[in-house]
Amino acid sequence: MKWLKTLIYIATLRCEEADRIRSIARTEDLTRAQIAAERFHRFLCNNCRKAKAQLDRLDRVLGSIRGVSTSGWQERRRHRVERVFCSCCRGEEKE
Amino acid sequence: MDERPAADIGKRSDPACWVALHGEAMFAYARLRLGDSDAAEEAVQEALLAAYRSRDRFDGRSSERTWLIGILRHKVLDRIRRDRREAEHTEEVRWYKRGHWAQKQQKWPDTLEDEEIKGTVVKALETLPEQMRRALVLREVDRIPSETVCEILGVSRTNLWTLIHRGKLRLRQAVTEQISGGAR
Repeated sequence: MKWLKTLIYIATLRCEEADRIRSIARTEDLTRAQIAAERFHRFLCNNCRKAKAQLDRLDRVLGSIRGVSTSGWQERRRHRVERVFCSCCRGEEKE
Repeated sequence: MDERPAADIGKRSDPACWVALHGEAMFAYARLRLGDSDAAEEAVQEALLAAYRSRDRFDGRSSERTWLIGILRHKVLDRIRRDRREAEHTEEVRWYKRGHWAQKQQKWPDTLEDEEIKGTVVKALETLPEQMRRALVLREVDRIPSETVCEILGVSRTNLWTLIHRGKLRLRQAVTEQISGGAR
């Protein structure tokens, strides 16, 4: 009867669970039932097709982020880092 | 992260120039992951000092910046481990009604450049609860394996899924709102 449970799961999947499956698809290995259920649900649900397209673009963008804007890296901060670093280096060289 | 010419690979500059040459890139890296300028500054400081102490171990297989960012990465992860806090699950976001979308989903226009989305996403990342932002950045930006992220953040695998899912929902909403705002 396991196949019947799987079939019911596939046929009755809701948007919330389908979206959760899509969100973690890059993080986790999904089961075949999860993959099938999400695809079947997406085939029927216009909102989830749009949500999937959003998620694909978001994943692509997240993968391309390297750092944030450096507006916080002001002269003052740079000088402070430089000063502390140089004094530490000098201290280590004396030792 | 490394935008220096390939000719720089293998060369090590004078440590006194490190802050001028790589400080800003290192700060940007740490700032995204720690979400706080002062914490990022401290991490950069610690990384520079660690790099100085192990400068003889720089084997020149990568560029100097890649090597420094590699050291910084460890410092950032150590700091996240130290600051570990309970996940902030208190705010329940109502995205769905009885398991279905509470609102119609929007198609993001094809004319919208990834760079524009990236700007919004980076801003939205900074507004996420700390644990959620860290989970997203470590797993989705840095692609650190789930087990390691769970260990660093001190959360179960299920919690990690929830954090990532909710974080992505919020980021998507931020982009959608930006599109709607721009269209008005």
